[in-house]
Amino acid sequence: MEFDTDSHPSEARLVAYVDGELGPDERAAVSDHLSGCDACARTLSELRRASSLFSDAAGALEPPPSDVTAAETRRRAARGAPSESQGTAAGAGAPDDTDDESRFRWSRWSTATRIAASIVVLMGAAAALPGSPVRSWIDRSVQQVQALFGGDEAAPATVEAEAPRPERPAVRDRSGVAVSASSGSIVVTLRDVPPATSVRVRLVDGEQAGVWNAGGEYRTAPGRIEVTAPASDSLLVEIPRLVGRVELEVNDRLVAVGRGGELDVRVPDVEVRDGEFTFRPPGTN
Amino acid sequence: MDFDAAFDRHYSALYRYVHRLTGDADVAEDVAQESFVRLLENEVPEESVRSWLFTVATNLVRDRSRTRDRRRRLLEAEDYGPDRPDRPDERTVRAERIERVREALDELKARDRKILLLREEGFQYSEIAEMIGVKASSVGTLLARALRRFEEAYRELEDAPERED
Repeated sequence: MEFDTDSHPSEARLVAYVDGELGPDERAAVSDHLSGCDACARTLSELRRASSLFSDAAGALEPPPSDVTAAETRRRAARGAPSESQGTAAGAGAPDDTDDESRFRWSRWSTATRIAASIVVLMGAAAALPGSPVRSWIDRSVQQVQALFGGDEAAPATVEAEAPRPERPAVRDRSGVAVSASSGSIVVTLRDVPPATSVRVRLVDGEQAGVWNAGGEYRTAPGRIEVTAPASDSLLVEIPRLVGRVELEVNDRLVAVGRGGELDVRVPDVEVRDGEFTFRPPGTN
Repeated sequence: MDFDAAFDRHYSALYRYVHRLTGDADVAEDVAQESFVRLLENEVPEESVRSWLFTVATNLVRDRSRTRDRRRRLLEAEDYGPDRPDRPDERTVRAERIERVREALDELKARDRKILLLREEGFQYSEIAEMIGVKASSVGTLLARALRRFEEAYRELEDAPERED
């Protein structure tokens, strides 16, 4: 679509710009316009603020971790139950609750609850075994809960590996920080990154974004990481697949957005190897 | 379609979305659960599972809200109470924040709430458009307006004097 760089972009277009919904040409045009139009830059800033406010607000509605953990445990246990009676429920699409359907559902999950109790006992036994996957899963869950309740202001950084691990997380060997997805989004900001630095970005499983091998000054808050003046010549940013939206800003430019398990890198000259995107930081204006 | 993998990947986000949308942990659990039951009963292509689940959950919430709306209003304050043993001061601050956010959300149209929460979950505009039944080209406009409305409603509540009720 043609876009006139002289005309002011609408708020809809600016939101789409923030969300990475514009094509490369249109994005470049909006970018150019923003660099020379204080009014639109202000509007963009207002929309970002509103967006951030909503993300924080949505985060406040986060179910208490105990809810999630309990529901998760029950669902994990119950997951096997439906397959035993597959084909008896109503179809999908436009849902239409009926009494029959409700009865079906509740009888199914009651059975599941009994299965859950058995599994909890088995998990308890398995958790006692050093190095067992169940034990690492529990360790990980506890760390995530601790991260969520680490504090409302500047939560201490948590260090998390993406894969199950035996005792202590191996990633402690590489200096860095990670934050949990206490809301649906995370913003990673790297400031004053020297031009010669290699910025490597990759998607990881789990719900934590991390910046590693960076050096410099780290600051973290729920859903946010800020690194200023990284000293390393090659830093690594990990974008979690399971978080709704993750924005990576480098030297005041939005350079990558992770959404829906996909990574959209918006800088030129990106080298992609083994799922890792490597690029130089954009210069500061 | 690998049900276990789909569950591991999408359950938490689906539960979170419905919980935010309804403010009701029981409904969130029930709807998320029901959505996965339906997933099991349908052939859904791997690449569509996520948006399929959220669409089903959104529809389930819509249908439930018709019958549960009055009850929800009555139970609202209790529903949002913390389920962990907070200290009293923590509980108060958290409850007040949640109440303010919920009230600001209630100021929005149902469609605006959904669109903001779906965006928050990282859906693309084309997916959101399909889920809520609008043109993809309208999503940006609706989002911008919804963001502005939410901020306005939230700030007003922030500035409002303490109420007695």
